[in-house]
Amino acid sequence: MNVAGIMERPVLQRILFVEDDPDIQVIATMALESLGGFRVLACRSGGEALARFEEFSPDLVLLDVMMPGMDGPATLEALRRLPAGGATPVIFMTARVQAHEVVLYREMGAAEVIAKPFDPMALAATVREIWSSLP
Amino acid sequence: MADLADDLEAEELRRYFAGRLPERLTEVEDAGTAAREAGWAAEPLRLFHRLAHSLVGAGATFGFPDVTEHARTLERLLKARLDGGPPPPVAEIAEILGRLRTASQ
Repeated sequence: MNVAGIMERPVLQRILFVEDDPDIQVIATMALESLGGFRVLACRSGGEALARFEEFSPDLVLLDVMMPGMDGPATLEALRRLPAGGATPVIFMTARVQAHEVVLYREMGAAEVIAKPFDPMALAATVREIWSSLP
Repeated sequence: MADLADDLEAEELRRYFAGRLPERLTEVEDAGTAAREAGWAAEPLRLFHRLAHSLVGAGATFGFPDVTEHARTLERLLKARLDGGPPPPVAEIAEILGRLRTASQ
């Protein structure tokens, strides 16, 4: 809480990153860790992310939209049903970023949408910027 | 990978993915063979489509626009079949896979 009595968002430290592409997972994780200084837990599927969510207790979830099996929206829906998953901000990552799709993702509960392809070297800064803009 | 952690420059990213592409293309080709042999049934076709889709995004992320372009063409062909269209033309798929191999070198 700051001097005005307003709750401040904690420093972003732990990111749960869900991405099925192995190479994008490797590079993005490395970028978030080495350039952003974040602690990252990378998962290959929505199911794995849900299973490891509580033990990792992330500040933020980066979630690929198109994944086999449980896709991003389905993962988000299941995440919101977890006891500790209700308030964790989720950022979708997708190649489908037309305006109506972004509106749809926000209605689903996504805090923001990052377009793919993304620049790995700019990813950490983008995530930090989104984090600082969250209410 | 330790080198990459030290230097996430674009050229390093390209080099990393160039090293990964042969294995990824083999994976795509194997999925294509399985889908064709299964008569373009839904499940193997979905895997083939997903791998093509992944290659579209990875190619763009790592600076391989030709890989992205050919993978996107393949993805669209397969999506048409997934949406109920006719089986994709085998010769065209083989040609696209050949282009992907060339683009990866």
